[in-house]
Amino acid sequence: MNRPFLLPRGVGLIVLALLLFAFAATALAQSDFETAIGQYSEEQVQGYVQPFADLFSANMNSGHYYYADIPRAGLTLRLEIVPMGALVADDQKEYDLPLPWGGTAKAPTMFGDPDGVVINGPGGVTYNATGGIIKASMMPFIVPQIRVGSVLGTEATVRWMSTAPFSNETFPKTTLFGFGIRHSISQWFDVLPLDVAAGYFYNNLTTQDLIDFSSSAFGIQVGKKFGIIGVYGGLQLESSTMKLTYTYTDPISSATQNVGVDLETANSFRFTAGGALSLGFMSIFADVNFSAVTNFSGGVAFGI
Amino acid sequence: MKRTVLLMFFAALFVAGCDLFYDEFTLALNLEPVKHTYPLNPGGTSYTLPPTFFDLGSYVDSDYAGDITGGGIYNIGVMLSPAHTGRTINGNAAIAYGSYSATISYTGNWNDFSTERTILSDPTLVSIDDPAEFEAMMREIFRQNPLPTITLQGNGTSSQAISAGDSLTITLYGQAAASITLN
Repeated sequence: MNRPFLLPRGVGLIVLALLLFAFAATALAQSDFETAIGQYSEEQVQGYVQPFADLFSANMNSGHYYYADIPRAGLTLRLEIVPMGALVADDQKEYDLPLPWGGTAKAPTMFGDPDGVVINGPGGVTYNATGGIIKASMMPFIVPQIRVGSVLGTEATVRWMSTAPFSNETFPKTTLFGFGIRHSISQWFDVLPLDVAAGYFYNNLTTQDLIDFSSSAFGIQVGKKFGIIGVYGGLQLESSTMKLTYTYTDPISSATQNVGVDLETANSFRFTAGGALSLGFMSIFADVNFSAVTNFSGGVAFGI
Repeated sequence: MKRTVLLMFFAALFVAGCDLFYDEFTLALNLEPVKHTYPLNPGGTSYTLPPTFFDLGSYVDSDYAGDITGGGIYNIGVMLSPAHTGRTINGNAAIAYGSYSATISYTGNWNDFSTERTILSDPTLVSIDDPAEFEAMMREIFRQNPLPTITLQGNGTSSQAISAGDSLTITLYGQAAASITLN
């Protein structure tokens, strides 16, 4: 008998810890992160945080599906825990930092050398660039989502989580909201050898006043089941924006200004390939996503 | 079996996640500019800038005062006030710390300095005489924790007598590198 939403003993606590960790990781240690970017002008900060936006976006646009055979009718109700990881490429560890005396020099991004770099300028002056904060070769994230269906071969997913500020607001309030809607295409055609679906997905994550991330994606998915094993894949068009808002004090004029930086992310099109295992009330799935940023997603689904 | 697989899966992810941040990273902090305006003695064509002391530690945010591991001056500005047409100026200012001393020279028409001129934007008007000495001194200064006190003094000449109310402002723009512990 299926036991929807009942996690194996012990797993629930681990999942909760992971979710909190993932959100904390996204929020970073706000005071240090905000101070770090607050030393950079709008022109300087973009290269420092762009890889974070690219990798985060690659993750957030993942894990929306692991099959394409959406039933025409009947109840689908699943809790899904979806971890993701985006590979950090070598060229995401350095960027061209605009210098006070003009020109640029190589400096670490958030994923670069933690020691920073000292850049020698004209006449014996030097300029220090902040070091990297994140050392992982893969940037992880994890989202909880609920899947509900099916009406006329259509199902929906909802992602939501909100954390209150904790640890003296080192980790600020962070809220995730996302939804997806998918419709079975193959239900309308008897001759298709594969299950086919189409879907639209939206995500939004805000970290207090610091980060406001939004993404939307549209894709076609295909899949085929062989007993308890399923294979799936898809093509997806996507766009994401990460808005970063911080306070910057110009070191020359001492003028304080609120800076808002809109970062367009690297991924615009992706190809997904994956496999899933259906084990009664639980499914396990994993896939790889090829795009400007390569990332992996997977997870477990509990329910019917 | 399912439970074991799941626990292993989440445990592996958790271990990977715990290693996400560096233990320490270097934060480049913009310091509040070290700025001082010297009133120039009227009547003569020469002037002196008396020794002035600056506690660099007081220019660092107190949250990071104990974490400084490096830094430097990345720009120096000179400004004269008010404007005087037809007058030229030639002067220098020495930054001193311990046995180190580096001289900044500025020369040109008085009115060239009506707005701040810096070694980066106007190297023909403002320059460091001995860049190697300056660099060595900065390395030594920013190796100290807390940051030490430096001295600024100088002298110069004007092609016309200094007027009452004339002043010269020198500004040092610096950064400090702080070592921040994340875990």
